[in-house]
Amino acid sequence: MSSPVLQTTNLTKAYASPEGPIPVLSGVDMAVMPGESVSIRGESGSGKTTLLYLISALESPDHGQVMWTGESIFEKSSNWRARRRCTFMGLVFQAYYLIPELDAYENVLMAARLKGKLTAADRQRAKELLDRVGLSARMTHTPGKLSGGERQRVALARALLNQPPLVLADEPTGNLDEHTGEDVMELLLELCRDEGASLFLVTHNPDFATRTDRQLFLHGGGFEQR
Amino acid sequence: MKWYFYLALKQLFPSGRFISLFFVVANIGVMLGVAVLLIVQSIMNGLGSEIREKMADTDGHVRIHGSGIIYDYEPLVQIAQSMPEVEAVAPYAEGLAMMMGNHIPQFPFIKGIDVFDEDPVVPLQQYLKGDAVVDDLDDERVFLSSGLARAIGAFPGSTIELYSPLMLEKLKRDEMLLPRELTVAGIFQTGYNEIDENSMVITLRLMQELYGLHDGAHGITLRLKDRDDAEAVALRLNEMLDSPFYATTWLDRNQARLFILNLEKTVMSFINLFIILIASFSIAVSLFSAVVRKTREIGLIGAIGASSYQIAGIYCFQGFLIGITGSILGVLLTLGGLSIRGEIMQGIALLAGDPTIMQRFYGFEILPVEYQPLDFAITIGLAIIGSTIAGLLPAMRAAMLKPADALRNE
Repeated sequence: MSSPVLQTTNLTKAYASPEGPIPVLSGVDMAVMPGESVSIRGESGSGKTTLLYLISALESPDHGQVMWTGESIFEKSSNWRARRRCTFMGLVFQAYYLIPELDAYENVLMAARLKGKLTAADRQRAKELLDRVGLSARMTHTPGKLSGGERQRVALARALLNQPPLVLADEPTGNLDEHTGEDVMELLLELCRDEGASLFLVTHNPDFATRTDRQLFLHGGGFEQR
Repeated sequence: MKWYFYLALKQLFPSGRFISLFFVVANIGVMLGVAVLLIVQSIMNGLGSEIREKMADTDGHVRIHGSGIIYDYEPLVQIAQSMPEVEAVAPYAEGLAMMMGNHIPQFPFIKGIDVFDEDPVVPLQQYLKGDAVVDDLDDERVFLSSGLARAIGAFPGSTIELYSPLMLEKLKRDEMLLPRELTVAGIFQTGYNEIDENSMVITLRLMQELYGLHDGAHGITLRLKDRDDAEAVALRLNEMLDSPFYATTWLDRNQARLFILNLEKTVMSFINLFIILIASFSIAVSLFSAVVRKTREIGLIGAIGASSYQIAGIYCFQGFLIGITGSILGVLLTLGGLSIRGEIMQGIALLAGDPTIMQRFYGFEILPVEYQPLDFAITIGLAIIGSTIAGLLPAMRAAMLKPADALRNE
């Protein structure tokens, strides 16, 4: 049996406030297996995004551990986590976060540039991924000239460029209309499946959640069975 | 290319656009700062060189003096001529006198020269205006400086009366000595205001007569093959000469003026340095606003694997690059601007309503300019350092942003 690509144990996080600490996550244990897709739902403020930031090591927990393919990441340096994050996971955000000075192709290639030396294989893969998301004709367009759906497709291609074993998506359809959101979600699930990547999806949409292998509901700082 | 350099370049030269407005404006700031500093320094160098040359030429590179009148200066001439660095030697006598021209009294500085020996030492001929030649000078004639001639309304052919200090001595003994009537043989202008304002040149023989020097002189002037040898030659002469004789250089005699010249350049450079500082601050402010505007992008870059040092590198490199390109443009503007300085000065003179104003007041029609590599190196270095530091401050802010906080930024 293969080991989890992502695992958390007793993950706890609270934010400081003048009135005292506000607990967000309390002892969250979870695991995502290779190739598995997991959706997280929850009310606003339930800690979905915080959980995603903790498992991507963008924030540190107050207690508990996060393990990427068995390695406890908070025992390593922040530079190690940054370097590892580059190849271990692809990130997709609600607001796309494309770099406005770069065209679609260059935005996708940024993931490979951050990894280190840019190779011909990286360039080829960027073109293939843009072709897969239906943007081969718009590679030289800057984000300002792309629609919301197109921008999110570029972000999907960027997330998958380094063939990460894990894709984290934080409400990737939140800024899109229903139809475009449907297309993008379909594409995300399909790409992860084809690439063999695990998917950790934060969403409000119960319909999208049902398309993942496993659904979790975050409430009161922990997972709730529904 | 490292990705952070690549991204820095892309922010300055975005895809689909030739160049960013920020890059243009920031470069103009640095360019102007560098150009103003270099133009001022180069002109000050040029003026300084011109004045130094005039000082050395009109004063003589080295002088041998005594404690008073040197009645037998020939042995001193021989000692000076024995030195390989010495090109020419001439005796001189100098002092103050009273004169009258057109009923206007003046108290000029007067110098007596040996007509045959003087020109190789102090190139008087090149300062004479019109058709006058040094050979025109004899015991009945005099050369006036342009300022003095203007003050008394004299011109070649005019007559003046010269009263010497010896007259006072004679008066004490109840003797009467009439003033010497002399004809103006020519007018000279060296371009060195101090000399041009109020001085005259007569023959050494006449000076000896007027001052009661007999066959003596006040000193020996030496012209060297290379004026830079002046201090070394003076040092060796002082080892060779017996008291009361001693040698001084044109540098010693003009120490105060040379100090002021250097001080002027330093002060002007210091004042103009603030333009570079202002340009650096404007770069810093622009980059700070870019960092604030791009907070979420910085967060994204951090989230997908950039370290804080690499993120800092983006903005630091931009400042560095602006320093380099702005400096190159500043150097080009300096060279280009100064290459047409003649036309610019003509334009200024025309605006002032007098095309000859520069020549009349400053003694030149085109501004003297001297480029010194050290000035260029220091100015460019300061511009690059200033711009890089300007980039460093916003870079530090960018580096301190936590990706999660940056992504949450509204």
